Amino acid sequence: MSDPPAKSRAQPDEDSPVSLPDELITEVLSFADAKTLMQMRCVSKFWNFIVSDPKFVKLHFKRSARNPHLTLFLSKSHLDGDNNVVPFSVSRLVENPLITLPNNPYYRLRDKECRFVIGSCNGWLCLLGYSCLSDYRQIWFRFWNPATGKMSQKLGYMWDHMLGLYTHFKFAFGYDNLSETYKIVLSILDEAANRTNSLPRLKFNREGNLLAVTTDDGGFKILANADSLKYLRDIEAYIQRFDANNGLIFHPVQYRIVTIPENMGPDNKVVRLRYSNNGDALLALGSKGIQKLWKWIPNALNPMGMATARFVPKEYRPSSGFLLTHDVPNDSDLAIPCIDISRNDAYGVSACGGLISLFNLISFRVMTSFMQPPPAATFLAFNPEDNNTVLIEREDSEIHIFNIRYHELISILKGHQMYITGIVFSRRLDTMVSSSADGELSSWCMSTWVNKKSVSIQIPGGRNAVAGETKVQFHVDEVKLLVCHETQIAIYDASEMELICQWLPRDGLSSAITSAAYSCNGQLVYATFIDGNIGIFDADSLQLRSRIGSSAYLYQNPSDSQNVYPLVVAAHPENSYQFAIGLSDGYVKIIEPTDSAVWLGQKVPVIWLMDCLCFSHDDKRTHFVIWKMEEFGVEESWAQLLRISYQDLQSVHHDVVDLQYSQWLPLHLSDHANTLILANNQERQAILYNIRDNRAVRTRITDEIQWFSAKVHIESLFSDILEA
Amino acid sequence: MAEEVSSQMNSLSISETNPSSSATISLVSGDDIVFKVEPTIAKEMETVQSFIDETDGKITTIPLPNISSHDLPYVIEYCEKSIAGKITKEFEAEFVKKLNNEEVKELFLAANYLNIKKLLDFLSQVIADRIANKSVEYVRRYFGIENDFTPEEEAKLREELAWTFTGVDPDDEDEN
Repeated sequence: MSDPPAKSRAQPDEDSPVSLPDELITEVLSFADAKTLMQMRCVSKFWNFIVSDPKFVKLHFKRSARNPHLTLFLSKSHLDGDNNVVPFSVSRLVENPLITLPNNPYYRLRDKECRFVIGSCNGWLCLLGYSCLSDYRQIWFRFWNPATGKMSQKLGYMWDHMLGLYTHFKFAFGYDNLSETYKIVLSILDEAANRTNSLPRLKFNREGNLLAVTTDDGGFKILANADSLKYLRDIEAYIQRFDANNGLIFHPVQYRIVTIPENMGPDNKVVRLRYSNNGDALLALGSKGIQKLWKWIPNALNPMGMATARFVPKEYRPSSGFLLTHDVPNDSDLAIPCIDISRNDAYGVSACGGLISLFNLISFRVMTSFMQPPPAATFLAFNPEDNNTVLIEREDSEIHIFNIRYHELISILKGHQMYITGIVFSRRLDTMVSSSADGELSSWCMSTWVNKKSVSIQIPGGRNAVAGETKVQFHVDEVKLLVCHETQIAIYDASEMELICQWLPRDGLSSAITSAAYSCNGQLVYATFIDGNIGIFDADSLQLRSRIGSSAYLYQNPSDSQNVYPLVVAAHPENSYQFAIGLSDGYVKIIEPTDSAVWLGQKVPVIWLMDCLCFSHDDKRTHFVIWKMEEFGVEESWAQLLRISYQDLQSVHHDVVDLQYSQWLPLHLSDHANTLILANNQERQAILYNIRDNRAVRTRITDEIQWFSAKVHIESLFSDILEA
Repeated sequence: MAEEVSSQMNSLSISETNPSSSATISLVSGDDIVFKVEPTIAKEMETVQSFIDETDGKITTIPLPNISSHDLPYVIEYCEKSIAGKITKEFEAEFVKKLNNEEVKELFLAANYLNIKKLLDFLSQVIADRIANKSVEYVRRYFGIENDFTPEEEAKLREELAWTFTGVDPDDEDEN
């Protein structure tokens, strides 16, 4: 019936079909699906032999990669009430998302005890199950090749007395080419760290020889060829606690950086940096008492004249011709510059070892000077309740509350042992917190100025931190308090002055911290380091999200013996992603990520798509974005792979808002890069997104599939695990 | 057909006087039919191209005794599409729809002889798809393979593999 009409050619002999030589039959069979090959072992002795020939098995596996499957896990299938595992062809799913999963026992594993598919490698699925024995659970692994129907014994018994198997443990399954062994890698959440959601995600690539791990400080770690892992001989599970000793790969973020052309003058470090409260000006104070103010000239792209890294600001010089310079005592290196701006951006108060000046920010006219040292002021702050009250911290460790209008000393607060290096206010808690150079934090009642509590910042081991400038900043919630010391960044609950979490320099960021600041939305923490690095942290967990090396913002001559590093960081008051740094060479830079990178602060899943390491994230609640590392291990090769609008992913069941705030996981990108399969925690079905025409369809499968645990699986005829 | 033979004579005379690389290549099938093709098409056929290269492009008429005039136009059509970058799923589906099982195998042998990797892979997949879900007997007939198992051996193997024999199509005898 498939004969074409009007055949001009005569068949040489109708009864003897064209026969193919063995090598061509082998070629044809390498393209066949595993199920057909298993059946065709019955054709002849040669066919039976070829299907188990190692060379053929390898060739077939290579070809089989063109037709990947997803392992679908059905918890308590409606068919039999058991847990089922069904590998299903991706191309069939894409062709017709309305499917009934095959019911026949080929490709459907029914196993009450199997609880989880850890991974797929070389056609083998690694299954995990457990049996409960009173308080303990006995965990085992099993290896199943669905194509050949081979199943290993239960292996790798472990005892688990922890509560959450899935929340405390994370497994990965792969193959180490060097040692030619299969490996299961287990990472255990360190309970001491006791952070939620910080569990690393582990992903082996398709060959199973590269393992990507999200580290608890927000980078990716790649365990290539896994030297640091113990070999899994005879398929025994080894348990490995990860420690971050391998190369860290950070998320790609492109930054726009502008350097302000005027610097503070030779040997004049930028020590204090303040944005104006409405974000249109930047005020810097140098170690030699020089003070500069910059503003942005409004233009079409920046009509409000807000601070931005897109345009170079202009130094503001008032028509009066006044310059802001402080009298600095001779031993200027010891002078501590300090500065604050009133809430209405009209006045500034500053000092640099000498008299304190109150000045007008428009005319630069000094309205009054007061408090002849010694002792000199070490920190200045306007009282947020009253612009006329300034809190003056002095090198004799006293805090003076001073009314500038009437030149009246309102109160003196004593209690610190060393000079004060920071002071912040929470009107919500009616609390002021001061920090001193010995690492002590004190909280005071703002209405009565009574000392409520004093604590010392700790370093691991329960000891007090060494003396050093300790800076404090309130979160926008006015409860969480960011504390920065050269040894650590810490977050305290200011109502009780209790430590919530702490980050200590390590890995790529191991030098002393010079400064830290909350982003204005309170989601990020920017920190600068003495080696020139800048770290961007998740503000809740202090997980590292991104790192900017000094090479990104400095054009430093390597022969230049004098290392330049940031001394101070300030966050923009309205743009959460913009910050400014003041450098030891007197320059100020403004840094903000380019538009495509405003996903910082999200917890992102790592995945392998088309054999490339990828990660995905939300972008401004409008798009879902996937990045791809084009060249493995090369940080510079991160490129945006896909950017999908939530509008395009909308369904009748869920509006865009549901999708914006839900969790997404890309499962697979078909090899022609046409269709992306996504799981979403608001959806019971997977989403097939066509990249060409931006159309999304949902699968329609009656079984309840745990899409988040679906693994890409390549059929194979390998039987190597059983031979091991 | 007579016309094609005469054009063969023409092309022979042209190719002898003007052995430039832009001249067309004449492919002569096993049943002596000449097909003129662009040199770019010949490049797709590794066997043909190496023949041309060996003679420094002087000879542009290539005899292909193993390929019939029935199969050659299919090969040329596929190569033309391949050069134009127009091999789509739709084209491939249309392409094989025209071919019965015997023709697919003949074309497969032709692709192997001419060493056209893409066509070979494509036809391998076509044949593999055509034997998917078919009975063992059907596949034996399809490839003309003799069963060299003893009845006991075969019964034992079939029993061992019984779990894989699910959803096998009933044999369609008309198809061959």
